[in-house]
Amino acid sequence: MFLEHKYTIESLIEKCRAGERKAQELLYKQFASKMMGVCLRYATDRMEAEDMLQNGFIRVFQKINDYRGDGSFEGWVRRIMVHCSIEYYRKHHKLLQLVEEGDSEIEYPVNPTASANLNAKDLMRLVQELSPSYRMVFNLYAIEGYSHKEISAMVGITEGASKSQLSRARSILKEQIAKWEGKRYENAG
Amino acid sequence: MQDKELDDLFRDKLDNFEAEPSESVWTGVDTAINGSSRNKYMLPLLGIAASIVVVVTAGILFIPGNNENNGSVQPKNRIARSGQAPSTKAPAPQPEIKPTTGFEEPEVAVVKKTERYIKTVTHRPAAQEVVKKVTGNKPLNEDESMLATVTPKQEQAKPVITTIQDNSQIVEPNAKIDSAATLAVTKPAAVAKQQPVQQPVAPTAKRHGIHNFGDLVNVVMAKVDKRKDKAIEFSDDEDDEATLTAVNIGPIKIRRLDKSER
Repeated sequence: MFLEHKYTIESLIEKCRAGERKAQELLYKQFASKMMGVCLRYATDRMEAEDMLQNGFIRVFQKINDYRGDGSFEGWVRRIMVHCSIEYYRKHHKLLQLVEEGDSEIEYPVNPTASANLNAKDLMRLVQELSPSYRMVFNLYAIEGYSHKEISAMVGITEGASKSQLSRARSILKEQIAKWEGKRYENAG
Repeated sequence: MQDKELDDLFRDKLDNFEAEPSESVWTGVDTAINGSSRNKYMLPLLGIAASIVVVVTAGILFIPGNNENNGSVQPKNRIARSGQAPSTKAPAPQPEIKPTTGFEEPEVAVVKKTERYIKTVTHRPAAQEVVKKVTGNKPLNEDESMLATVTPKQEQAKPVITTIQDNSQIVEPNAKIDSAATLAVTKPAAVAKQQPVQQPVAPTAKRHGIHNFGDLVNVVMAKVDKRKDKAIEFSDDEDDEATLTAVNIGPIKIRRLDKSER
């Protein structure tokens, strides 16, 4: 890749700290697609994801002097994207604070081999169809690996609410996967 | 499906999910990040543009003024063309002669323009009063003395005087206009002595038409003799009869003092 031959991430970071526009553009192009994938998981649609991505990269370049090189730069950028996604939802959506009463988990039988046939786009669509609060907690816990305690601090909900919303999100996803498999089975039969 | 299995499924498939964002995202980022630095480049350019606008505007505003000044300069060129002494420094007769020579509009316009830009404007009202008094056939002594004092100061009014001289030739006023004006100009040091000579000039300028034999001779001499001191001059005072006041025949120059100067 052109970027790998000519520039390293560290040199780009240094140039970005000096305010070089070309380096900023190269760094953006280096991570834009990956971070777009992150933002899509937190967004309802592509337009929202691009808003989050833009805000996230603005923050990256504004805060690039704060990057100390302790962890990977990609991880640092990714965390910024997640925080910008949370901020976006705080502005545009009111997160559910309480779990609906009478919420009971229903176990949907999902064939593991069949679910393996689900491609990434299908799963992305299932996540985006979740309500904002369920989607937020599921993303943070299941994919990003944050604990309920961290999620409660980041999102501003209680740990109990985080756990309930995660449980509800999982239940909905299992239900949707079961429906998808059923349709697929019907179409195949 | 267990919760862990579900989480693993989504993590495996979506953790490395990539999608190409549209170009507008980088445009928005670039504008937000580098917008301020672009302004830094734009500010000096805007300053330069603003100063150019100011200079051009000022230039446009002052061009009419320059044109008017040029207009006032043109009469000076006429001085050279008319063949008169270029160092005419006796603008005082200007207001006096103005009424008689006023028909030619360009010269009138010149007079107005010079009034705008020359400080001697303050002298003009006094001189115009002189004109009025003269036309009223009143004694000229005081007015003439005023003229004598004003004359050397009004240097800027040269063009008017010369044009007046031209007009005097065209309109056929009394020929003494020329002599009086040029006398006051060419010999400023001798102003005091020449005042008597000038004095008849003022009334001459005020008087229209030919009223006696002396006027007729003066008009003819003005046409024939272009010198400042005519071969023969008669008094142009309306109160007087045609009285010989000056003779200039080669080496013989006789000029009679006006009675008011005696």
